[in-house]
Amino acid sequence: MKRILSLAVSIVAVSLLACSGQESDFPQVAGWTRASEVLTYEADNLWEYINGAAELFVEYDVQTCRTADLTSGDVTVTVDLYDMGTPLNAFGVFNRESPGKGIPLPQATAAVVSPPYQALLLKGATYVKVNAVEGDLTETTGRELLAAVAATLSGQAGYPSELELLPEAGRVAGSEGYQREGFLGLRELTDCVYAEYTGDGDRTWQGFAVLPSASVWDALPDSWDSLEHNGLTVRYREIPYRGLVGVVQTGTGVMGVSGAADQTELLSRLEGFIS
Amino acid sequence: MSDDSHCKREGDSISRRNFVKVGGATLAGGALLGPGATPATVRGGTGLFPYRPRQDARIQRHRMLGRTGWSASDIGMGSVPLRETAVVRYAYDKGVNYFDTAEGYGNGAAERAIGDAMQHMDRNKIFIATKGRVNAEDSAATIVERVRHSLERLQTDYVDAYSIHAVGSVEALSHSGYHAAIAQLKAEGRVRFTGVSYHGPGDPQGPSMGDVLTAAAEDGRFDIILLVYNFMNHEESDRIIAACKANNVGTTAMKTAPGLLRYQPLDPDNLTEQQERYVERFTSRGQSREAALQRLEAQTQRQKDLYDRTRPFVERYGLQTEEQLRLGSIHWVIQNPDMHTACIAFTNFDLVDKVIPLSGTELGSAELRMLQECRLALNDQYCRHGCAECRGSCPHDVPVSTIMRYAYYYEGQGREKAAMSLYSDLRGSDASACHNCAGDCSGACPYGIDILPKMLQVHDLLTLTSTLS
Repeated sequence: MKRILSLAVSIVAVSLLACSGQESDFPQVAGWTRASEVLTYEADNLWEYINGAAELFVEYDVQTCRTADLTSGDVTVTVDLYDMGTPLNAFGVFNRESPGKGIPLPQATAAVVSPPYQALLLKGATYVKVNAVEGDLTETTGRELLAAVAATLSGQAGYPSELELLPEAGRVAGSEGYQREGFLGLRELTDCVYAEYTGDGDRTWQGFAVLPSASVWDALPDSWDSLEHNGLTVRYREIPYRGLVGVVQTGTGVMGVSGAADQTELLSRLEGFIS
Repeated sequence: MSDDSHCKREGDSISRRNFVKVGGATLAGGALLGPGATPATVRGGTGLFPYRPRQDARIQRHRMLGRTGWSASDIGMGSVPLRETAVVRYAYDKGVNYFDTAEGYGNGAAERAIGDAMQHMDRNKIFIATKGRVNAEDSAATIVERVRHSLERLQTDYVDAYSIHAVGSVEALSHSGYHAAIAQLKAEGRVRFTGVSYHGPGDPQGPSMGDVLTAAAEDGRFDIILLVYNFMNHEESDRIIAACKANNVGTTAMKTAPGLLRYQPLDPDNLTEQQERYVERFTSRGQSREAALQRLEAQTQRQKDLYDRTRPFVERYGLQTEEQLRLGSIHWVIQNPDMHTACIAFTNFDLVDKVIPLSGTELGSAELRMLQECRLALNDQYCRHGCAECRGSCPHDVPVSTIMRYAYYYEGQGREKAAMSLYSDLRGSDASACHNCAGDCSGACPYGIDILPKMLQVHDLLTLTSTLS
């Protein structure tokens, strides 16, 4: 009987409701009162909370999202704490979602306040998103709230160590990013940290490094041409509308540059980038 | 069981009895067809869909997007996740003329990416549909302001449609602030049409996607609908599409390619490295290992459910990679002449080159017939997520879908105590009322589930009594 029933009921397709999360470790902020229970979502039910926006978080290996409303005076905000598993994943998502110029904030890696609706925070493996649901979030209020939340979070305030794969010379500060998939619109370029670089007058170009854990080089398809230069094999191809992209395999891994008008420019940039 | 018995054909048609038997077992167990099984395919697996990328392919078919009058490419572009502006431009150059986005995708990043491509596109030749969350307390002014931010990010003076994102209830379709804002924005020439999107409820007791979007289609105030539509999840969608057709509402599809080709089985005593990391994520915050494992088991079960449900489609088409599954699913979606455009998340140039060749192409009659038969065979096998169609048919108000969910907790997730506890909390509204009920709920499930015996079975399970002995 149980077996038959097992067959009958185990095919019921439902999704889990969000679980009530641990209340105790949700940030407690002086002057703010929690106005809802803490809900916890995971990668496979995050869409129930943020719909299609969940795709980005899943791409970056979101572990959990804990969320609760906080209220202070006539302002109520929803605080979402995304545990992204690693500082690099959190940085990747923050970088993609950040709308503009950041503010300096002690105890945080990065922060942005966008009055009157939103404030974002990055610290360690946690990405924090604060959205005003009632009242306006002023710059001061947003900054103070983020600072208080940052103080409760574990993790280092520095940028992910993987960014050190990028050469410092010519790097435009604040232009760094991390893309898990489809860097430059190319499916074969995965797990790339990147930044803008100067060096051609006013023009900038993107340099990037593939994380050592990614096996990109051997998986480059035949659509990438090949040439030898200074004892290194250079693989390169054209990207629609964006010129040439080229990569080389160095002692530290796969490094590349993009946006070159021709082979000469590509090789020149590569030389400078990996030197 | 032999491999070919999975989809054994009698003459030119599949045996429904065999399919139900085997399909049901596969859904429940998933072990009958292991990774090494050789599927019986209608045609050779790798030859079924035009997988090879073609850079010279262009959109071949357009469909009228309801009353908007827009001739939409049968393949549109979704924008989550959207990583590269150049891919937007590339899709446009291939003939894609419908772009779906939202303020919430990447916190505005998707809109910004489309906006950055705008200088390379003829604005008059594309339809931009964006959407925003509309909270109950939002005023018209708030929504107008939100639309203005979207316009800034999109670098355009107007959007073709501004939809309510994940509307959530039938009542919310009448949000006064939204309609007032749209009236103002239409008058200003900032918005041309209205729309609604909805995935279905997170809470199984919430309104079904079918209820909400059918109401939206019949409402008269909405011009386009964005709905979940795929080979695994189309019963409700078919109802919505019919309502849209009857009311000349444009139909656009999302989540066109669900499914899994594999999942990681769980052995609590021998976790994989990835599973161990998952558990540590919770234990490091003070949760017990047992609780973390329960979460992991639930997650694994959900993946397994999806995997199992995917199998008939995968086996019949001989699909071997996630990409093949995706392309096959998209191909299935664009067959429906009443689905006007399928919004595909083009994340790279290569995917554009693989999907665009599907435009205007047809599935063969044998494949279509097979899909119809699969659907028939599977119809009475499971209680649909989010469906509440049977609600109201019971004279005792037994919450059927809730009880089925508890049964799933018990059997599917191994959470016996929790399931029984939840069930006992139902008290007066549990399935004990079914024992001597003279009511007739036999036709209440539109998918053919015979509710009464199911309820008696589940009551037996969740109370550890025997009513069917």
